[in-house]
Amino acid sequence: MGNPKKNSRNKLFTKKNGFIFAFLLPAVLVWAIIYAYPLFNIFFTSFTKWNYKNFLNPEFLGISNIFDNYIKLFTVDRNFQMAFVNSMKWVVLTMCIQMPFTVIVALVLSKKPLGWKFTRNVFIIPNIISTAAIGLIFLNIYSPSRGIVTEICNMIWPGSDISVLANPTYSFWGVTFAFILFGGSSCLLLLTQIFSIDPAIYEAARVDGANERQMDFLIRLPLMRPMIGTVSVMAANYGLLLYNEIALISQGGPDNATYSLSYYVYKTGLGSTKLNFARANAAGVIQIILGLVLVGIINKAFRTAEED
Amino acid sequence: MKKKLISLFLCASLAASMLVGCGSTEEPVTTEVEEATEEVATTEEVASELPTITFTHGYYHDESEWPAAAEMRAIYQEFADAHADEFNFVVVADESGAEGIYNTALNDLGAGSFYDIADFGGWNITPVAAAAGAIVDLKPYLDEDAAFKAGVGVCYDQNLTEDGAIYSVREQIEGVGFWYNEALFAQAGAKVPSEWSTWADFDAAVDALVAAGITPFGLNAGWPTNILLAGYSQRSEASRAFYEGGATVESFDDETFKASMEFMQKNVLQKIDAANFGPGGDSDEAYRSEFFAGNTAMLFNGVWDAGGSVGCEAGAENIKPAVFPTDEAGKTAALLSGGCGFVVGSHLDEAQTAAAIEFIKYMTSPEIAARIIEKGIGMAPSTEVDYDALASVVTTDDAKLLVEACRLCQNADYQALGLGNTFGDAEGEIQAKYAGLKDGSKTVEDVVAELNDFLAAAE
Amino acid sequence: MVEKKKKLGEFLSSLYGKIVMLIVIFISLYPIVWVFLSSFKKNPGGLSLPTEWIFDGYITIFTKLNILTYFKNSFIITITSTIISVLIVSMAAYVSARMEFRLKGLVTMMFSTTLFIPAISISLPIYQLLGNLGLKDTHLGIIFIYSGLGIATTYFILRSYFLSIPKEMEEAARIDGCGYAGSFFRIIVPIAKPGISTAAIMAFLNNWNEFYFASILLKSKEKMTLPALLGQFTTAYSKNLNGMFSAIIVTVVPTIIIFCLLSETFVKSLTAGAVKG
Repeated sequence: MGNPKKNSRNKLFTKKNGFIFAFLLPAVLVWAIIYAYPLFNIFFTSFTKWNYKNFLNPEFLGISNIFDNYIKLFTVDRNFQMAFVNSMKWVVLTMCIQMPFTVIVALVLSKKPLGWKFTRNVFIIPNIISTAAIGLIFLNIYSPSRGIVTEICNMIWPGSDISVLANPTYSFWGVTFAFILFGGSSCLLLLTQIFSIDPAIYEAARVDGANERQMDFLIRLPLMRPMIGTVSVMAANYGLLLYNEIALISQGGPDNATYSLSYYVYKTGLGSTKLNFARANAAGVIQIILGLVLVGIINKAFRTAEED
Repeated sequence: MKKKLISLFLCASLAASMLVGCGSTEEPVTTEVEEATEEVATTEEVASELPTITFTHGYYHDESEWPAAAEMRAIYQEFADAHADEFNFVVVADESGAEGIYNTALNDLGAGSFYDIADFGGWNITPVAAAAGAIVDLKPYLDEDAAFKAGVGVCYDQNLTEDGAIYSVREQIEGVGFWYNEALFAQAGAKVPSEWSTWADFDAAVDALVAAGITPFGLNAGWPTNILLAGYSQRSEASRAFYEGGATVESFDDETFKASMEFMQKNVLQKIDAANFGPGGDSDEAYRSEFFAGNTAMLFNGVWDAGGSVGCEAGAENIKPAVFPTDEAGKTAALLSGGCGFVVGSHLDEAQTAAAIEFIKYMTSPEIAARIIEKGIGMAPSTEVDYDALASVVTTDDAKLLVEACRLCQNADYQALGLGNTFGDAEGEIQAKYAGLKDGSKTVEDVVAELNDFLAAAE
Repeated sequence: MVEKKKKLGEFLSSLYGKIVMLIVIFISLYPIVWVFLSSFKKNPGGLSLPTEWIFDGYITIFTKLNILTYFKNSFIITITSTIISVLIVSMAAYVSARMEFRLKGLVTMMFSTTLFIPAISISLPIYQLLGNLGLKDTHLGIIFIYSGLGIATTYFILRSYFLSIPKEMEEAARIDGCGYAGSFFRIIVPIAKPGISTAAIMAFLNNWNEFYFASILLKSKEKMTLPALLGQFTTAYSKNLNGMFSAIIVTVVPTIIIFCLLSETFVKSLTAGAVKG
């Protein structure tokens, strides 16, 4: 008859495992179908020679020069180096401009001042509008003939005739300001977190004589930390993957000053007559590794991992 | 209360916008494509054994937006109708244009398929598709039919690959010289391009225009500037030789190329202010609009821009076509680029391939060539076209201008491919340097070094 | 004196709040307001108000484009894919937040990698995949892709939310005789509503705006989504600026209105359900 106790424990064990399996399965399956093959594909072809001449049959580079594509990226390919530096800049800028700005806005709105709902909804408008439209809008805003930037600059500094997208430095900032201030959806996430703080905590603080500013620093910010971490990951990710704004506004120019890693991947692979997919995928692998490192750093900084 | 009112208002406006939207759906919008597929559907029932072949093109634009697109669709449809009893010729417009067709073809190639026949509109799919064995070599068909060969004109030589194959021909080519505003030249007292003998006259005219306070030309970090560079590169024997080898260029450290860039910097880019130098890109068309508004004296664009003169503020009667001078007194140069056009998939059976070839023959026939020019769509590749005869046939002013521009291009002493057709990816790198040359932050030496770095990286 | 000082402090902090809000409103609205005003100008652009109000662009759009079809497509695709994605990812996120099992780290790692894959790098394989499945140029195909695109963001948001729900809740439920699945759907989902709504909004926004895959996977005009359509305006309407500006407004304004109406419902659930720990 066996041991009934052991039997039931076994059963429970399998039932739980079955549940875990059943609940994980759909998401893992979707991941496997959509991402697994492309991931392996990107990774393995980055060690091959793969361009328009052998589009259907990538050729392994051989053990002795297995890292050829990677070496070329870092030694001779100026466009990649430019893209690498720019993408890093954009990640840092989202951390230094977008995140603080969004947190400040969330803190202000969390006190529900007059018009806070309106502001919250308005803030999210640039995130609702597709980047295709945002790109078109900024392309026109920066246009010297029909835009407003040139006109405003001429008012302040007559005869300056600044053409944002024709100058490498201005163009970088032009692309940056087409996305960096638009933290509406992040703000929404932060607000959710603030509003989920137990009101009793504020009461206690108020009894202790804390003012609003002290409560921001002593209560809200510390309790928001995990969400700030999550939002930072999303923002950094956006900076790292930046593509649409560049494709629509600056097309990487002028003088390739606004190349991003994603744009480099496009320009080297599908967007080139040489169709150098191998090199593009090597850059893609670097981008993925950079991303994982970033998540690691951000998670560590905000300790969003489980221990928290 | 106020909030309710606002949301009510929003609802109402939303409903209104939806109603308007519905109103538009009720209108019968039948495009050429729909008609075509319907027709095929009916004929298919009758004779299903007829071979079917699908032709994809990028002329999807509405007639009001670009009349040439509607005319092209009509030309395709007439062919389909005329051969309805031999094969089903299905015409499909790709809504994302030639670029979309190119991208789809790439993706399809990866999945092991290809279009039956498609018009790639200048996007060069042939190297990759030919390497994958997915497309038909048209050379045998061209060689056995003299009329066909004459019809494709310059495409025969331009598209002949190193392996001796021709994978693509086109019914129209990019004939490029430039346009000028006669009135502004007169105002500045400058010699007009038709009187120029060498590039020195160009420089003199530019200086005269600048002295008279007239912006000589609008440019950007792309298309119009590339045209001028390509035009200037035809000035001498040595320069032409370097230019011709652009596809396989190994170093930009060439005296003629450096001289060309020097010319671009000193005699071209630095002659105009920043406001007339755009960032480049597809939607950067200020260089055109300023010319047709009568604010600039020259426009570097192809023959097709004859259409831009219609009702323009600069006055259509002032707009004149021209081709580039050279440094050989009296000789002229023009850019004629066929590029990638019709490409036929190699998966087709014999009957289907025959139908595809039939279609290309039709498209490159003298009748269609004449129609393409008369309707102001563009320039035909055929060397047989008699522009003098056409000039007396066409009636509208812009068609007359087009014919005149085509005639100049055809009669130019030197004809070369466009910069992009010649240099491939390096074109993008060259044009990226214009801004630095203009503001003086780059020297010609810097440009050459950077371009050579690019070549090294691309290998 | 102290009172006065306190009042001054309050005044300053409310002034600071107002300034921040004004900045937010300005930076969020000026692009769209500028486009709106420009869409009525004969030659769009510049700072001035239109001297003469032109409606040509709008007339063209409503007579030539089936704008409603694109809205319908965008809605069907976005809503279906958002529901699928939030459902399956919430299940996985719950398991990973609550249960101990081997390879848990691997699952999180797997989903994390998807955050950083450039869409351009995976477009070729995905195109082939849909081709092989016969889903090229279909809504079903794009819904399938969208269901997987936001997997990482959704996963992180939901997982951190599930982690913040006290374990006692399900333990109580389990004692009452609920199975694992039962306690998830009956207990956890209602409690996690704010988190789920947030994740849903994020997924909705991402899918609604997705431009790259829409433009390569959808070929027929009648199947296109709004962003794919807008992507074409650079070429199709480059000669017709007035039309391009009007098109931006026509596609964007209803989206904003719909979002504002929906967001009331969404955000209500966000703010109502504070988790007490």
